[in-house]
Amino acid sequence: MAESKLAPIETIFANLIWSHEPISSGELVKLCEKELGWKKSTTYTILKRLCNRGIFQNQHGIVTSLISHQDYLALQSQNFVEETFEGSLPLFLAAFTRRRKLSQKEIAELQKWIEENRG
Amino acid sequence: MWIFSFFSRLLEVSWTAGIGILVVLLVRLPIFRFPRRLCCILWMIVLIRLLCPFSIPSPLPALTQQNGLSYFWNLEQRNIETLPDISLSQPIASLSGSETAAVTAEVSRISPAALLETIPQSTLITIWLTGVSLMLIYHIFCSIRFHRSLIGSVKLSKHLFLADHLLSSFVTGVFRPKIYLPSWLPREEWEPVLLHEQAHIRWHDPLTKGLFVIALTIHWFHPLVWIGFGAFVCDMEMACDESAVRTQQGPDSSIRARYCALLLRLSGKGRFSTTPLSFGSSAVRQRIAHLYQARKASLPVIFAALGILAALAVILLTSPISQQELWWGCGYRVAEAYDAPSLPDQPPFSRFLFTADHRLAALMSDETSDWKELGVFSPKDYSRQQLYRFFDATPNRIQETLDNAKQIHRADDGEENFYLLFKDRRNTILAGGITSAATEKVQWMAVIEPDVQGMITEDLECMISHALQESQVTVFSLFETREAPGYLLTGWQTAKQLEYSVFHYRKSNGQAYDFQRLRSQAFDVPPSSPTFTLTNCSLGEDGREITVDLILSADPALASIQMEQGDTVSRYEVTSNPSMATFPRSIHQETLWSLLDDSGKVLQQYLLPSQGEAVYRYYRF
Repeated sequence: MAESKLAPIETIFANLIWSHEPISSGELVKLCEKELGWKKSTTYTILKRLCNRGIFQNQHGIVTSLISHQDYLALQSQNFVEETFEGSLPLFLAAFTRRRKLSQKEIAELQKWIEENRG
Repeated sequence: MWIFSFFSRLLEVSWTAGIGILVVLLVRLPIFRFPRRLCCILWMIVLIRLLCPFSIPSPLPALTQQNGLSYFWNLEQRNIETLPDISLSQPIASLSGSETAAVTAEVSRISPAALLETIPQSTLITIWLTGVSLMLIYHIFCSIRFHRSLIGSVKLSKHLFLADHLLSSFVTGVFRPKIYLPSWLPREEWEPVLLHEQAHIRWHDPLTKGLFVIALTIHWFHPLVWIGFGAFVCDMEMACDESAVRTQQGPDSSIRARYCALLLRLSGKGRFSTTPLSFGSSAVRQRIAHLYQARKASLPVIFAALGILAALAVILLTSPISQQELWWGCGYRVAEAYDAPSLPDQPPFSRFLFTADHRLAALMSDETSDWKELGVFSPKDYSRQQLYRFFDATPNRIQETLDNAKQIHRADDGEENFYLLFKDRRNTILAGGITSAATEKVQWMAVIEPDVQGMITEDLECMISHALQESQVTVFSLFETREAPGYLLTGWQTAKQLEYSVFHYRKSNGQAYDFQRLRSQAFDVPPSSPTFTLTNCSLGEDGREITVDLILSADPALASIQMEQGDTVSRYEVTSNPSMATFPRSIHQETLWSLLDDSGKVLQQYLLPSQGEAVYRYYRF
């Protein structure tokens, strides 16, 4: 779980699974051959690696995700904020708005989101 | 065995290449601002030297040194008839009889490999082979690790691939080079990296690096080859850096700055690996420094480079045409040393030869065991009194010898030793003495005789190895017969075959003999047993076929062979390996052969019908 960050090609591969899951491994092989030009063994090797990292699982030839695409993105942004802004959301927002003012629509969305998530 | 000659050649090559590596290392010092591509070409020469066991003959002196003492049967190189007519031939020819051996010896210098000669060569070879195996295992390990890391790469074009988890970009593949880029590298930074990698492909760097890795595997024991390998890889990278920076469009300084930043980002902290040519693999600091120093090669630099290249090629890739002296001569040995109080020394050598041009050469029995020229003989008209003056005292025997001395020759070695050669009534005498301020005193004196047994084996070995292009020939038995003078039967073996051959030798000019291989066959007349072989073979030509029986045995338990012919019982000793014995045969008589052990117990018996009658000489080696 800790090393959940996917490398660029792995991300493409993972997106294929996320957008097609549940997918049979045979289908996945065909899909990867079309999209990435991979051989069957390559697909299985990479799938196995990602399964070992706890992102996907392959049960009886059906590939499903253990971490959903949304969760993965959330984890990545959290990691990003952790790494870059010492885990401080205000700092991140401050940096984000430094170059560009927020539009009225964005402010409204943010306020709504803050109300929803108030502790 | 071939491996021994291969190994000594390997050491020679390593030694020579080491010097070449030092030269290139010097040339590539930053101070000379040598374009790196030219350095790479210099490395090629070193590489060829490391991998190619052959040298082109050249009249120039070179760095290679010949190993040890070797004999050479000189049938082609020097025609014996062109040798000068000599007065020395009389004493020698008159005493040489039919059994004089003609010997050539090659004189040589001490080689660097001689330092290692205290360790048995087989041990060294074992160590070397172990090292090579370890290197190979490491290469395989690297290769597997490397290819595993490429699983899941994506092909962008015929030569371009993207792969995850790469620290740097690289080129791999000797025949179909492929560029691998790390997938995290932003697209706008591909151009300089691709230019760098394409330069690698253009110059066939993957191939050269592969060859250098092979050289490193073979010469793993040579530290300079390791240093050279590192420097060579660094030079290739720098050359491609130069090329990539030069090819890009835009202001020079910004290109360099961007390129250097890229180098830093792509510099992996990878382990030493022999497989790919990695963009950021080596010496990033030097490479950045080099980029800021590099100038386009000026004409003088190019000319200097060509000069160094030519010099290096001549030094490394050629070997001098052998300047070694070939000595033809009659092989002699000490038959009996005079024993007298006035002669304090024994002859310092037991085998020596007289060359057709009057030189005395000896196989020194000191620790060098090397052939050494001792002097050139010239005739002297010493009177009896003058001869006496060489001795402090002349007991009867010496006096008798000196009184009959004729055909006196003298040789000086230029230091303090002198040699006298003369004949008395029956024998040929060689005496050695020391010259001091006022006196010249003989220190030893000996009767000498032609040496067939000792030298001719080695000569035959040389001749056979020369004729067959075999590096190692062992003559394990040899004999000649009184009945068929001029014929030698010899058993010899190489790594591949064991053979008996009959050689015809012909006196060609007093001292020397021409050898001709008449017939060879694996003689095998049953019965044979695992412990010994009874064989027979024929000698001679011109209707003078003579058949001999041979007993060969490698079994030291066999102590003797007993032959019963009618009422006669004869017993012959069987030598241990290598051995050969020949026996007389009688016409129309059956012979019972018995093999006896040490205590005289009969081990095996064979009844053989016999034909012909001849007495053969038996040599034991």
